Amino acid sequence: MVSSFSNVNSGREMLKVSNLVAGYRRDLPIVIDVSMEVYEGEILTLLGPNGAGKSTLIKGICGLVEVISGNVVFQGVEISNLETYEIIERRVAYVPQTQNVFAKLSVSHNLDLGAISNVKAYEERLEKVFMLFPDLWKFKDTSAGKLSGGQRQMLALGRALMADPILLLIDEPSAGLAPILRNQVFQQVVEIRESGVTVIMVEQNARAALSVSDRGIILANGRLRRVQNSKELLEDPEIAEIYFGAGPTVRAS
Amino acid sequence: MIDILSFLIFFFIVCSFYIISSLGLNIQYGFTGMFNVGIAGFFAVGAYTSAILTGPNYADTIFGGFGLPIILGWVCAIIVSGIAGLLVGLITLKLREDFLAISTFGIAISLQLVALNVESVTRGPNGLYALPKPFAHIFDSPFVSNVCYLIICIVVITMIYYALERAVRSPWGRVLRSIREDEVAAEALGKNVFMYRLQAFILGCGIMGLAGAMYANFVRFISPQDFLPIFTIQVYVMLIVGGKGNNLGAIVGAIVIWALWSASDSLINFIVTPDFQTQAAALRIIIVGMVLVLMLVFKPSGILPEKKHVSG
Ligand SMILES: Nc1ncnc2c1ncn2[C@@H]1O[C@H](COP(=O)(O)OP(=O)(O)OP(=O)(O)O)[C@@H](O)[C@H]1O
Ligand SMILES: [Mg+2]
Repeated sequence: MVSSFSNVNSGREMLKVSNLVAGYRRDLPIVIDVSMEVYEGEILTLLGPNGAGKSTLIKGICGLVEVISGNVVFQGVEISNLETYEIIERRVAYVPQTQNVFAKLSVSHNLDLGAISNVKAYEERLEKVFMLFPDLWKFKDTSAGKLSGGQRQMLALGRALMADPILLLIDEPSAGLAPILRNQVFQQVVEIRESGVTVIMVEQNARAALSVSDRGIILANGRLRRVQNSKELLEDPEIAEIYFGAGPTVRAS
Repeated sequence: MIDILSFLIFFFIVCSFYIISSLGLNIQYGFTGMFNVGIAGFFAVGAYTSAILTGPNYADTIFGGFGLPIILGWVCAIIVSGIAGLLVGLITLKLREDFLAISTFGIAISLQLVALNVESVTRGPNGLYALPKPFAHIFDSPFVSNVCYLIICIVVITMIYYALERAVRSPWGRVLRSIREDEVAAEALGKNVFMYRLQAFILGCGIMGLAGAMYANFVRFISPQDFLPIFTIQVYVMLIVGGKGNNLGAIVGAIVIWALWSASDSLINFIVTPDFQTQAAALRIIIVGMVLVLMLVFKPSGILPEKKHVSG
């Protein structure tokens, strides 16, 4: 399951975050001086206690919060001063942590909204998404609000894939799911990566997330604490105590 | 018999101006969730544009009297009120919803004041009169020219209806509804929310302007009196009662409320002595207000609710 770190090392740098300070208000930075790289083809897991700024960091990457200083470079182009839609157009997709589907709109309407400009490949991508998430096909005319938590998560993921991203940012894909579904979601994340998408995911289920990812990043109080490959983090007794201590459902705080 | 018929024709012609405005509001409020409280203002911009372009030359104005064909007046009315929508949209659409309402309301009032005070163009309270009406110079009988006018109205409404139906079913329209549901989420999906809102706003304002132009060339006389905020409120009641987010609902609501408005008018004339009729006119507002409240309590989605799954 653990993919080798070495093939990531050979991957080219896709995203580079340098000394990023970001937040919801200029005078109240949440993410403080974070620098990190993301390599093509890897799964990178973002760990940290509640309120650490994990969600804010990935929102900062896709332009949804204010970048106060520092910058983000995606494929050699600075994106930190772009509008969100300009960043998404560069094939970055983002799945929010909560309220990530349009509850009143149908499943297929939700999926359509994920597609951006390229209408030609639309059918093909829709087919791929239905193949990965057969449930969505079954419920395509149902309003998204009537789906179960797990199905909503699939819809949110599927919708992000409709944009044909090369970089996917997922905020807590396994939150609120039963253990069996949780593993299924991680499997799907692996499949998505297999199809050539680089993935950054925020997770609280540290052990399960690290076991499918290449590297892990630990954030606390808005600052970067550690960047290491997943295997090392999984074996680190200190990490084990904080994150895997009392079983997978406990959230560190 | 002919009396009733000509009354009905008159009724439906005036109703058309409301129907068109209600369709224009539907794309803004019904589908995109933008609370534009300046409908009367955009309606007025259209009316004055067509009046100035198609109307006669008045001795006391410095601008106007171009005597252009009516169809040109209407096309220009759409364009000018669309541009007005663009300017207002650029200023207000980044504001929060409640600020949008307040500022569009203020802008509509200001436009009315402009019409009242820029006398060298609008003749102020005296208004612009003797405006041309289509077919009026061909047929002597007002009945025949009204029949022709009603046909024009029906054609225009049909065209707008089908164009809007296509628009809201298109990917563009689907994005509008996602913005109405959750603006931030739509942005997170990479939609340029501001551009979409601006486009829907301009489209709606252009349609309202066309309604105004058609009004001007029907009644043949316009003055700032015709563009009071009550018009805006009427159109909202029509759309909400008919069913926001449903173009057919926008049409049905306009007919129902305009019928109610006209009926209460006749009723008031019938039961109230002439001395009190001005005061009694306020009763109409109360009646229509009550219908709105009852509707909101018992069937908030309107007579024809929005269709859940509009397929693409
Ligand atoms: N929309 C917002 N406006 C203002 N402050 C916010 C907003 N969202 C989050 N914050 C603040 O930013 C800080 C970091 O929040 P963030 O959501 O990034 O944490 P997180 O690491 O994702 O936590 P969790 O594990 O609970 O999701 C918190 O102190 C929170 O109060
Ligand atoms: Mg979070």
